[in-house]
Amino acid sequence: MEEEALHTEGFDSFYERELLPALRELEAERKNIQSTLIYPTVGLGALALGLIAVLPNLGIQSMFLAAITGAGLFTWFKTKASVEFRVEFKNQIIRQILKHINKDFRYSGFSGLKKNDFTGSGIWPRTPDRYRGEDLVTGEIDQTAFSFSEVFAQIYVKDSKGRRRLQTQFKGLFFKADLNKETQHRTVILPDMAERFLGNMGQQLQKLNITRDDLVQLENVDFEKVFAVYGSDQVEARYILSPKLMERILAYSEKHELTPSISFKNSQVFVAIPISKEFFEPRIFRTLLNKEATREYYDDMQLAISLVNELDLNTRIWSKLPDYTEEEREDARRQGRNHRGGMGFGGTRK
Amino acid sequence: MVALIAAVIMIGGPILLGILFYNNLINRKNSVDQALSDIDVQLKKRFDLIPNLVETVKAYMKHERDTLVELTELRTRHMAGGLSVQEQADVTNKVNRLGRGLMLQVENYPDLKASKNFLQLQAAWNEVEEQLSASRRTYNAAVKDYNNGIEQFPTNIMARSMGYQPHAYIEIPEEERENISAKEMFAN
Repeated sequence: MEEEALHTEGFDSFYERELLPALRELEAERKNIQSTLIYPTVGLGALALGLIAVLPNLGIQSMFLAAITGAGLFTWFKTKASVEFRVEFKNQIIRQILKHINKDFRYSGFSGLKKNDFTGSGIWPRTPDRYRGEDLVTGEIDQTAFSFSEVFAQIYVKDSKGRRRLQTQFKGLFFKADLNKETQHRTVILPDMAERFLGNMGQQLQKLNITRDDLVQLENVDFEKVFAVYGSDQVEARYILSPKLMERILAYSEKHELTPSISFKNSQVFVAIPISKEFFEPRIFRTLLNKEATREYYDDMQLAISLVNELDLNTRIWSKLPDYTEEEREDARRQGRNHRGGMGFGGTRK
Repeated sequence: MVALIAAVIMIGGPILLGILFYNNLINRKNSVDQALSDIDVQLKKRFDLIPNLVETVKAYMKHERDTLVELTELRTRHMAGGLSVQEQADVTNKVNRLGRGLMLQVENYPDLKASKNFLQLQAAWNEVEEQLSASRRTYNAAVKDYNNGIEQFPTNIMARSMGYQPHAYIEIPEEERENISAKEMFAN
C-alpha cells in the first residue's frame, strides 16, 4: 500500500512538472480539431434533414443506411483530421510517460508485435485474417528482455446464413518475454470456460478437445477453477508451472480483475491480456488536461511491464537458493558460528 | 430382422465397451509407469552430480567432510543396485537432505560460492531438483488418473477383472513445499 502511494506521488509531480506543459500545447490543437469537426457534423445533419424533407417516403431501411453512411463519413473525417495530432500525442505524451517509467525502454507508436509471434504463441488456433499492432514497447528489466503492444486481430467466420463476416479474435495487450527456463515443448494456459459452467463434466469435455495439446491437471484447485492448461509434455508443463508460479498468475488475475491467456514456447512466455479499449490514444472530444485520464496511460503500461516481476521472470535458477525450512537455516546458522568461532554468518550482507 | 440387429447390439455392445475400457485402463497404467521412469531418470542425474559436488566442495568445506563421505556412500549403494523400494526411498531422501544442507552451508564460504565451478554445479543441481519436482508431480497426477479409472464406475468393473490395484502417491518432501524465500532470511 505504501509503495502504491509513493508511486502516485511520483506520478503526480511528474504530471505537473513535465506532462502538463506538453498537454497544454496539444490541448490547443485538440480544440482546433474538435471545432473543425463541427462543420462536417453540421453539414451531414443538414443533409439528413434536407433529404427527409425532400423525400418523405423514405423507408426505415434507407434511413438506417443513411445513418450508417453518415457515421462512417464522420469517422473518416475524424481520422483524417486527427492523424498528425495522434502522432504528436504519442511521440510527446506516451513516449514521455514510458521514459519516466524507465528511460531505456523504447517506444514505437505505430508498430506492434509481429503476427508471427501472435500465431506462433499457440494461444489461438487460427491465423488472423486481419492483424494490426500499435504502441510497441521494448525493453529489458535486469536480464529479461520483453516487449508488448496493442493488438487487434480478426478472423472471418460464417454466420448462420452462410455469409462471411469479420469477428474479433483478440483485442488487447499482447506481451512477450524471455523465459528463465529452457523449454522443448509447448504449454498453453487458457481461461477455463468449461469448468466454470460445467464443473467436473467440463473437465471431461476439455480432455476431448482435439485442437489442443493434452490437458494438464494441476494440484492448485483455485488455479484449475480459473484456467485450463494444455501441454505437449506433462512433465515440462509442471516444470514451468511450479506451485509458486500458479499462485503468482492467480494473484495477477485477481489484482487486475482479468483472465489472461499465457503460453510457454521456445524458452519464451507470451501473455494475452484481453481488454477491449483503445490504448494510448488521445481524446478528441474531451479535455486532455485531466490527471486521471493521463494516469490511465501510465497504468495501462504498467499492466504489461509489471508482468516481468509478477511472473518472477528474473529469478534465474542458476543462482537461486531452494526454499529452506526454518530448521535447516537454524542448523546452518549454528554451524556457521561454530566454524568461525562466534562470528556467525548473519554478518554484514548487502 | 429386427431381432438380429438387436442381438448384434446386445452382444457386440458390451464387447466394444469392454475393449474401450480395457484399453483406457492400460493407457492409464502406462502413464504411471512412464512417469515413474521419468523420476528415475532425474534421480540418476542427481546421483551423477555427486562426484562433481564432492570434488568442487571438498577443498573449501573441510568441516563438511562427513557429509561428503556419506553422499559418496549413498551413491555407491544406489549404483550397486538390488535395493528394495523402501531402501531406495531412504537413499533418495537422505541425498535430498544432505544435498540441501550442503548448499545452504555454502553461504559460509564466500570464495566457494563465487567460484565458477561451484556456480555451474549449483545450476545443474538446481535444475535437476526442479525437474525432479516436476516429475514427481506428474507421477502423482498419473496415479490419481489411474486410481480414478480403477475405482470409478464403469471402468472399475473391468479393472477388477484385470486385477489392478490402486497405487500410492509419492510424497513430496516437506522441505520442497515450504514457501519461505531465502531473501527474507538474509535480509535479517
